[in-house]
Amino acid sequence: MAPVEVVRYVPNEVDVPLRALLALFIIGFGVWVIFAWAKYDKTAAQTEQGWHKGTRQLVELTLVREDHDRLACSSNMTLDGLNCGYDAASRPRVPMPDEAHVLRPYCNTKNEVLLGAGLWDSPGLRGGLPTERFTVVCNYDIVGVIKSVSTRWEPNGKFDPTKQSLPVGTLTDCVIPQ
Amino acid sequence: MTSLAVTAKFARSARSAWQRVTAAWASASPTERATTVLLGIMIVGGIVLRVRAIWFPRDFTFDEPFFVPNAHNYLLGIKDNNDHPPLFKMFMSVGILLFGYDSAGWRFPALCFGILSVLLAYWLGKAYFRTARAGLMAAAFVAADGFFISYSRVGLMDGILTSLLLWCMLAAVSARTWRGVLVTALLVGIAVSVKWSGVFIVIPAVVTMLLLGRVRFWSLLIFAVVPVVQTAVWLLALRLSHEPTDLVSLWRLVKELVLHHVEMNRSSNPLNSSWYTWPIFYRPVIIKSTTHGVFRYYSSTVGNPVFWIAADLFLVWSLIQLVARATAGGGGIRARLARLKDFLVGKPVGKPILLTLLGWAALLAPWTIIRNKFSFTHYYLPSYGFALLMLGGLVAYFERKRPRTVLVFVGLALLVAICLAPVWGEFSLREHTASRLLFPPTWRP
Repeated sequence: MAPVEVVRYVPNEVDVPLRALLALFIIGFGVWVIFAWAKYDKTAAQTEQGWHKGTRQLVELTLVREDHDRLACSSNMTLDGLNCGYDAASRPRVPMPDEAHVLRPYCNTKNEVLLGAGLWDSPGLRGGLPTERFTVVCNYDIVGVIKSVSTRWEPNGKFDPTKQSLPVGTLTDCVIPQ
Repeated sequence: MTSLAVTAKFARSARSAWQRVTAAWASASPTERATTVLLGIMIVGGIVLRVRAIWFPRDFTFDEPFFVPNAHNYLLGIKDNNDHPPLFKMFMSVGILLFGYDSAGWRFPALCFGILSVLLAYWLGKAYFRTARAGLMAAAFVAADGFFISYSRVGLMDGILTSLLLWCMLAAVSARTWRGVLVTALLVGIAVSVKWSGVFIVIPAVVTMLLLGRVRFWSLLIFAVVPVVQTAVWLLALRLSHEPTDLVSLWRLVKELVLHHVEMNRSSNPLNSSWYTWPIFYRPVIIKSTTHGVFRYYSSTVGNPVFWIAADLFLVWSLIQLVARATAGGGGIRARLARLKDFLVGKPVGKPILLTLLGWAALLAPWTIIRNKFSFTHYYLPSYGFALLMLGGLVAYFERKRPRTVLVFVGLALLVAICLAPVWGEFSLREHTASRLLFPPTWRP
């Protein structure tokens, strides 16, 4: 059997640093592919790490009982059947989606904003609510992220566009911690 | 050169590399193979740690506000108000151009150069010590070290500077003629255009070329192109930002920045640390820190203790040996010098160790001289890169004699890396867990 020819490539002095340049471009392309594949801007909100589409998080929200009528958002986006009570022009949606599907902005205890639906439908909140500010703990199932959305925090307040993307999801099993 | 020729050259290179890998694996003992597997885990794990959730937090962290808006300014064609040379921000603007004015965009160049550092460590380790094993060790050590990981995950320039400095030294070690010297000088010019402190790489680069004796002495004059490269980069930056591009304006700007740095050195900073605390990571900085409810997300710059303790012990041992050989044994100055020379370059790894140590010392020395209240642990990153290269060469050398000891060393380093990975790569941790991992109080935020 003929001996196997071993090809020995010896790079010259300019090839070596040039090889690093080629490697940098390949790495850059690889990172670009990873970023595109991860779709981080569509599946990960700006608020919390690990809050990806399809995950369930335990959230603690601060509320007052009037928030049901005060908090609202406006956007034309619909995610998984969930949408804001107002369209992008700040007009109320007709017909108004039911409580389980209408999104409202809420602040968690770290003062970060999320969009959630179904909070006021939760059995844990159907009884009498505290008259003072209170916190509720809910399961938050994230269905996506909205970039262009405006929020309102007072009944007749102005809708202000948010500066960052917000997670969108359903709030279930909410309880007021004792 | 046609693209066909380049492709053929690349294919030859890849085939040659693959043949060497398979031959090395076939001839390795089971212990060496086990070590190789652990080194592979370090490299893959290190790259994953660099990439994972790098876009988090989605807003500025640590010193990013000083650089990111200025990088954005280049795209808007307005003035860069930062006090460092422009190239790092120009790299960053490429990331912003690709991914938008977004955390992924402004951290993109640091990540790319951070991964490149692993590859450069391989090539440089191999070039210094003339064995692929030393290169593999160096690459794995750089990959599994928190100092390098954290600087790959943030929009800051020190990781990029370190990568460019390793690149400069790779060119210097490979130089055979004036062309190699020119490539080295161009790379030094690029590194200096990222951060001025990169200029100190000229010392190890020149000494390496002289010690290896491959290039003619006069060709070292080519290093005069370094300021030319810096000027060209700066003029391009001024053009992009619609500022005056004449040399007088540039001189005025540079003078202003130098004076600003001198002035800054008089001020103090709570994160300030002295140079002699850097090799023992007395006060590593947490460059990314986010709190959400009860959870903490940290990216600490603390290195892998197994690596830096081993490197520091070797440095101390070398110093003791040097002093002992210079002072004991009698004889005149010649005899003493002969003993020192025997210690420094007597072993097969003597000269490469000396060269890597030179890189380490040359990049640390300026901070030992310019002692001020405004120096930080991250100034040590370029030096530390050379310490890890040295360690890689040493461990590869000892593996031939004591493969089992080296397997234990590498295994321990991997274990420590796994333990510290959550505080390097911003995992979700409760405060008490984070504090347990960052157990010395000076490591905590």
